[in-house]
Amino acid sequence: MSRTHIPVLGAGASILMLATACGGGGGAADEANGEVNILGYAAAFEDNYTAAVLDAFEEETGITANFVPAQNSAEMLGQLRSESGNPTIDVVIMDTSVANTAIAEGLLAELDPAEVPNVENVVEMGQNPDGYGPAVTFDNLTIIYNTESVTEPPASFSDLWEVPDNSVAIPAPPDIQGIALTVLTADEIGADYQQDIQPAIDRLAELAPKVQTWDPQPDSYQLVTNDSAQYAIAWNARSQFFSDESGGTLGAVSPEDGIAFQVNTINAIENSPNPEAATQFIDYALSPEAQEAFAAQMFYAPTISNVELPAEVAERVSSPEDPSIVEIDWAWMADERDGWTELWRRHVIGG
Amino acid sequence: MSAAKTTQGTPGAAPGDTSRPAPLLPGRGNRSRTRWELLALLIPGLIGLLLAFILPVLAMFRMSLNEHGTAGALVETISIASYQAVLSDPFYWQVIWNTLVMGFGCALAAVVLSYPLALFLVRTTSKWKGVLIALAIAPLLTSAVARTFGWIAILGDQGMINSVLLALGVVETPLRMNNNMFGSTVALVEILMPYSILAMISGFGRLNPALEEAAGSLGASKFKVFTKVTLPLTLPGIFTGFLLVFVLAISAFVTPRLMGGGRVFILATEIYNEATQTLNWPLASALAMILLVVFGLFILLYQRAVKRIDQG
Amino acid sequence: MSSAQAHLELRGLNKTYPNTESPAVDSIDLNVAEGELVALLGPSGCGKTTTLRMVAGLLDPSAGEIVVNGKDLVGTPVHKRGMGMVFQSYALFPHMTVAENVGFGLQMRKLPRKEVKDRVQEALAMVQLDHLAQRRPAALSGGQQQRVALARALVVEPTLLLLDEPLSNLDAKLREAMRREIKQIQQRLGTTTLFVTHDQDEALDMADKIAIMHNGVIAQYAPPEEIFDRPATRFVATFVGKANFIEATEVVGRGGGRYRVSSDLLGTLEVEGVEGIEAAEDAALVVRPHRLGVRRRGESSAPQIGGEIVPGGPVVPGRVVDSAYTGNVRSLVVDVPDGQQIMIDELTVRDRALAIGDEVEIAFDPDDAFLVGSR
Repeated sequence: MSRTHIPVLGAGASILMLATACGGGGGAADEANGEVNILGYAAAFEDNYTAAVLDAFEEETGITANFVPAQNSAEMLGQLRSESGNPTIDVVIMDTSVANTAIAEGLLAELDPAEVPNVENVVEMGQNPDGYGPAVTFDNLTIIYNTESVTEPPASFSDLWEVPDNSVAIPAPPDIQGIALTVLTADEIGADYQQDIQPAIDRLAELAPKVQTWDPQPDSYQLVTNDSAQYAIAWNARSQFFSDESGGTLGAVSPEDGIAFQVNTINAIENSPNPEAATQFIDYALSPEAQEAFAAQMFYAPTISNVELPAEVAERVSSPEDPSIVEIDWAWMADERDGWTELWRRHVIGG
Repeated sequence: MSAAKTTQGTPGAAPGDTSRPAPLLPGRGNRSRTRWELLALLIPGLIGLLLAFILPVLAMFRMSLNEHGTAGALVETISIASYQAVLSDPFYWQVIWNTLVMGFGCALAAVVLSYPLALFLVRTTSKWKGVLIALAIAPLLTSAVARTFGWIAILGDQGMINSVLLALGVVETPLRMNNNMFGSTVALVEILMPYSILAMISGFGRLNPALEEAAGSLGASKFKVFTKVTLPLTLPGIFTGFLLVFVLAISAFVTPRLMGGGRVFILATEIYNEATQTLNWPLASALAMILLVVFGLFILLYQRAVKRIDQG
Repeated sequence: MSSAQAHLELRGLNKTYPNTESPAVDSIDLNVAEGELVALLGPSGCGKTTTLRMVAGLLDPSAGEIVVNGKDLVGTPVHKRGMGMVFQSYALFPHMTVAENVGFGLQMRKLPRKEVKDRVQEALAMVQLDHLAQRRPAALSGGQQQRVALARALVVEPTLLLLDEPLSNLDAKLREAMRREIKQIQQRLGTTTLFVTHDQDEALDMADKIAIMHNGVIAQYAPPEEIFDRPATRFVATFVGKANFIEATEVVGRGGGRYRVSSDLLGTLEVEGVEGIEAAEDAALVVRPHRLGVRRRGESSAPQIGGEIVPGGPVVPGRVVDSAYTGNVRSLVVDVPDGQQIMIDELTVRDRALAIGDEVEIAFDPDDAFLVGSR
């Protein structure tokens, strides 16, 4: 008989390789005024950040700024790890918890406060205690809903426990939206998330019947816009942005019961090819005009105190001075994420 | 002769008859020369295999021996901590179990559904045979992602099936057919069926219409012909189809990810999460190595089974 | 092993495939007596295998009846017909041993295990393969596989034995041995047998009667000698054996299948022929090449004829244009006066050979000529 031999590829291996291999380097050095390569989030972030910050920076300094896109912070870390001996990237904008990992691995460089004077304008919450790059954007967890099929918009996270079954999309841990929701839930029932998270987990378990998917695909914004899910938890900046893009079909709520911040830091790469241009860019990114421009463009909250947003922008972003902010220790969280993920699977999601 | 004339086989050829391929070049000592030439022909493939498979797997194995330090930092070391972490955690045993159950479920369903199709395609004397075979495997022309979204459109809460059921009043709330193991499995079965059909068609070589006719002429009813002749003779094809779908299913990522709703925990999705969310590369690599071992075990079992069929 | 002797009759059996203009089998009638071995002989596409498959139940007829022992079997499924069939490819089950192959039909008949075992043993002994009972078909030679297929078909004591080109996959030597073996077993068991072949030697050697099929109809159904000596049509004459055709210019019936036939080449002769020929148009004399005598012109020795020379028979001059030597026969092609070529098969004689270019004389015996008509 004819025996068919099957070549078996290690699927696991290919997934890992895909996760690390993507993302190209910046171009060759532009000799005239120098260049700087900035690694950051792809798609909407890339487009808006280029328009609001990179273009203005180029105009002001004559330095060519190249945006190198990546799908998420983990992919950025993968790229930094893979070229740690010979980096092509100068600046990275990534989630603070992943930045902590990169710092621990020695991939990022400390900043000299004298060369980056704008760092001192960053609010307390956004400072790095060890002198590494500070926060460059703040974002916060919101609820989004479909304005056409939902007649009574939710006002707070606790309202999600009252919505119809099978109508909510929640990105569960290890996604940090799920982590942030857990912290907010603990806060709401008066528990300290660093002491005992079980009460919050029990409360979240009651939410399970309402949840349609714990892994919104392709993302929460699309599911809600096309009414596959009626509610979701999401990040404010994209929610505001897609609310405009969808012509109002997607509605974003600033929840009354607590604000959880997601922090993107801006960091210089250790041994980067263009260190001067890198510091120049970081300083510019923390300037009032850059912070205001990006806030107006995509509703990320500024991280500096010396900026005044126009009213129509200010009402759609959360201020780091807001009293209802629930602070999250993302450095502490980095080591707890696996444990929380497992608690979610056991007690919240189920089989 | 009539169109129904039986195909002419070569039953006289004993297994030992299959002679060696003729030497490529005449002349003295051509046997050893031929061997070297054959080896030389293999070199491009071997280099490709080395670069694209063996080295990455070795790198992955090396990675699995590292440790996951505080703040997610990668610690270069030689340690089996990640394997210990996986194998001592009942959750990961559950994940391995889920993966195997899904693989078996998909393989079984795909084989059961593909078998009649493959049998028909092998037997048909229609002049459209080529077109029919092409149609059966045409879904491969569409990406698995597109077909997965197609299934979301069918199985979703506002999908085709639920819309019909709701409209007919059969159900009051939509059935949950998406965002769980059920939806992932259904979509995966359909996505993998062309592979099992192809594997079966190529594995049905021993099936000859004359054998079934002979069984019939000897008094076997249609059912007996199937159980005594057709089924045993197509068993190797069934095994191949089963194995192919099984390995593709246990390594499938896109469909369980898009249709699992975060409720399907299998090795591929866990590897992805550990690699890209938790950033625990050593653990992700250890899981990938375990998946490789599972592959290897099943291929070993398959070859045993096929050998047994061939002999017994 | 024994056999209940059966009588087979085909009545108006027809098979027309969809989307074809002419039927593959065109309303044929055939009567096979108890214990007879009948060969269906014809070229590819003549409908012989289609006929056999309809009898076996592997193919549904478009019209007509298949009557075995007075009962019409059309509509009876293959597995209930109780016939034994040997396929061209033998169709041995590759996943079963020789014994399991032979026992398959008995198992389907739900016979007790002991009886199955005994009868398998007996059937294998009949074909002298009892020592190979535990082998698999792939480990057997072609001839051995053929015998297993025969044993498997016969062990169920079939009403009819059907053989579909059973010897075509064997080499020439083995084929002749198997012919005798099949014939002997068939005669011993007395199983009524229908046998499909395209090989005239096989049919002439083995069959009690031969049905020559051509374009879906039976051109002639007769014992081998009659087929050869008294072909019903030009097709039969050419298909079985070699034939010279000498076109008739005038035919006068004399009654009782005798005719007075004139031709340009031979003048006027009185010969036997197919009954009912009325006109010379398309009628021709059939003369077998080995029944002709030939001598070098001017030689006094008698021409070498199958029999002895008939005084007063026609003698035709000619010239050898081709000569092929095959050991015991030399095949000559001779140009004769009316522009025709005559084939002559001459038994070889030591030290006497005609060569290309030799002027010769050909002698005809009128009794060896047979008149066939337009059909």
